[in-house]
Amino acid sequence: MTEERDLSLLEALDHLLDRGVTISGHAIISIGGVDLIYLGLSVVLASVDTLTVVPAGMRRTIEGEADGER
Amino acid sequence: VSGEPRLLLLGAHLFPEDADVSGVTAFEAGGIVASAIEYDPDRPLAEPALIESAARARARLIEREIFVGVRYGATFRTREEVAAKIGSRAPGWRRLLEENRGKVELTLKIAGRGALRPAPEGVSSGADYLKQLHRLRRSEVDPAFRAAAEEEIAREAVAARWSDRHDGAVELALLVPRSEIARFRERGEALKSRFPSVAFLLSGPWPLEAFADE
Repeated sequence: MTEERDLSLLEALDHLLDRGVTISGHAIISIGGVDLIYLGLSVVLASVDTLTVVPAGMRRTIEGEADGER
Repeated sequence: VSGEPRLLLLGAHLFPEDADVSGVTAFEAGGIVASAIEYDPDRPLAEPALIESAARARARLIEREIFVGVRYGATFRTREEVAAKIGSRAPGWRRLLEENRGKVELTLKIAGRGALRPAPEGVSSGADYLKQLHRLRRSEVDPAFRAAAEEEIAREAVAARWSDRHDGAVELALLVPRSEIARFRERGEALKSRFPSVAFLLSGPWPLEAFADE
């Protein structure tokens, strides 16, 4: 049940960050095809309490990426 | 002015009542109704709580009615700025929203293979690296699964569109009547029983995303 909820949240985040109409506002969202917000999310997900929303199988990968970014 | 709340754009709607959701600011913008959440510009856009609140607002909005989903990250100082930015697209969006009222998007995402970079020891040159990278990222789906998804799900939808994701996953976007979401979920479950080895996820409802491009 928890895993299902986690998956739903991840899917919702994936859609929010990577789908839909792209409109440029004041924020820089990508440079050279690299989505900075997406990258930032990987980093922040591994930091504080939000780690709990990441399914167990993904934690190591995201922690590794986060370490690499710092 | 620094410190004043900014607008984080969520989507475009046909009527104000479609965006009448707690925590969401809805306003007329160039001939369409825009929805946004207000946020403190000192907060980074990558802050998890802000992203999560946008995701939750989006989920509440799609519970009400179809809208054009805007990708996270579009922020504006004023409503006038929003109107100036989206006004030229408003007529097309209005038409799209009128045509698709009462419908939603669903997504059937089939997992990629994971290994998205060539092993360095197996690469002879830069050109070879790029060729291998291209091959690895070319998405592949079990042809039997694809045929079944086409037959049992895509053909039943109002519209369906396959696409390759940058992470190696393959996605089937579906436009379906809201009243038939449960029926599509049942079909997804049936597909899971028939193809237990294929990792896929049928999710939604989503706003107009894949079908929002003009």
